[in-house]
Amino acid sequence: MNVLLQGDHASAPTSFQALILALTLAYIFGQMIAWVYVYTHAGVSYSRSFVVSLIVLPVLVALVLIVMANNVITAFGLIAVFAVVRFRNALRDTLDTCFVLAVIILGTACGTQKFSSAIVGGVAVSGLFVFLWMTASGTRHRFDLILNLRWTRSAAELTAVSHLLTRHSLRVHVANQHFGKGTEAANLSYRVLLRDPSRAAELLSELAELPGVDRVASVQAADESEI
Amino acid sequence: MDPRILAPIPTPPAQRWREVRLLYLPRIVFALAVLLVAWLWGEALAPATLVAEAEIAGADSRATQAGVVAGLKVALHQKVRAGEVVGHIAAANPRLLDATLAVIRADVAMLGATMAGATDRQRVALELERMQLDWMGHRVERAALQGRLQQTEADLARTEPLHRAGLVTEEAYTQLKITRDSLVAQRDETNRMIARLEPILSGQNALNPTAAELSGESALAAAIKVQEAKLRLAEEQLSPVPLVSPIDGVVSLVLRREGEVVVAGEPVLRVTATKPARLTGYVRQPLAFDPKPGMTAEIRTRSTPAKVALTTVTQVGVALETISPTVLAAMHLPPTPTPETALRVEFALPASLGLKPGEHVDVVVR
Repeated sequence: MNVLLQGDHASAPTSFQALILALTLAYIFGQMIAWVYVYTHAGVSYSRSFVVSLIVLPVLVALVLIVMANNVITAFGLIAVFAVVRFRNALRDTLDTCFVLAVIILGTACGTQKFSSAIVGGVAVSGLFVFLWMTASGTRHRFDLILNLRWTRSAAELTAVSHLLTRHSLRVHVANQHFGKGTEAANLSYRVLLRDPSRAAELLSELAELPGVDRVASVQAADESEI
Repeated sequence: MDPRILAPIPTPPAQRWREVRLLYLPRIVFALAVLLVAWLWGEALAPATLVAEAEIAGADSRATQAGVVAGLKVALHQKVRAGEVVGHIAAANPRLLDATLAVIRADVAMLGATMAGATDRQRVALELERMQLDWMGHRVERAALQGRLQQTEADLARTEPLHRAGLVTEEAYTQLKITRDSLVAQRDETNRMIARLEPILSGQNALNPTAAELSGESALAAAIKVQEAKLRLAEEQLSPVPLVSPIDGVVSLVLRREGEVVVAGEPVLRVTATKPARLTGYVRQPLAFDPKPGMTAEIRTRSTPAKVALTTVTQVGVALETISPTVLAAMHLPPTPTPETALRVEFALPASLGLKPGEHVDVVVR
């Protein structure tokens, strides 16, 4: 461990407790802002990668300022490198920008001989990217299946459908209900999080056999994405 | 239970793990991150009230007379004890001393010449005086030899590393050694001569204490005494003055090397105590609190791993003082055109920290 901590060849010695504190605190604030964004977002354009970027960017900024260590020359160098990459590549996705920024920062850390910071920062940032991918961070209203069916019996008897859906699902969300004029028939749309996605076909066949259910259709649910 | 409610199908472990991973893991990691930050903040990185320095206790070993540094026995980082002789300061100008000795020699010769024409009784007494003058002559000779020998030894010490590096020829180096050996032999011979005459003279003086008076030349006896005093002074000037360490510690700085000329009072070595005496910090303006002796403070080292210990305030300055440059540097403050003044606070040194002299620590005053 000591060998790792002695790898920063910079004018001011790096405090690794401060480095860990800075990165962790940056992650906490990024995650907080991302959650606030997810719960308060009201527009139609929602992007999961943007939410992930909100979590990663504070960590990257904390790391870049540690690497720069009040060195104006390093700061200019970093900006110049980023400008060159950005100028030659149109980065549409903010998460792509974060990845580019991460590699530039780690390269700067190596170039300024802050090897220990580069190792700690590299492991921390890579781990964060993997963690956010693993936990599908930024995903809203996660469901496996969208079920569309036509119900021909009375609305009061819909509990039969509900019971069947509850048997197969951890979470059920009624996305749409359309009752026609002068008829009891209704078009229903459900979003379901399945208990066992491999038994989705079983759910569909049980629904089809349920009296009052007509025309069952399913669509694989995808994340809400940027429009 | 409602018979219409259907039994839920079993959820496979992989599916349960997916739920944990996507739903609970981010919250768990977030909570752990908060705990980690709280721990780091409280245990290791709480903002310090002030920065303090383990004060360096040091003293200079200074030349007590002008001369040449000779026989420096210590090197950098060598341990020394208070009063230990660490080197010598040899007389500055051997030529001046040679000249002084030449004057004394001439005076002694002149006194010998003025003894002609005395009576038999007086002649006996005068013979004794002549013997005394001879003895003094030998001492002058010895002093001169001593001066030349010191110079030659200093030259030899300086030349030795040059000779090893091949910068001085073997011939020149050998010549120096021969000169040194020759001077040593001459000095030893003179010493033997002085040692032989000394008991004879002291014995004669004891038997015939009025010998000087019998010479009938009290002025001559007085002149001999003057020359003897002068000779003693020259001998004292020629003998090297020891350079002593003022305190127990380690040689932290060698300011003058062997062979260098120093003036009286000039520092030759800096000796630093191996343990600091106290911790000194400064409360910057505006004073955030009023420090008082006896207040508890937490000391955190900046080394890895960081050590923490409790201590107390021992002394508080009465006026605002300029912050020590080394403490100021440790504060990582932006440079200011004028020196900053602050309130000096001294803390007892916690022995468990094992601080080195000059080490910086962060202090949290509770």
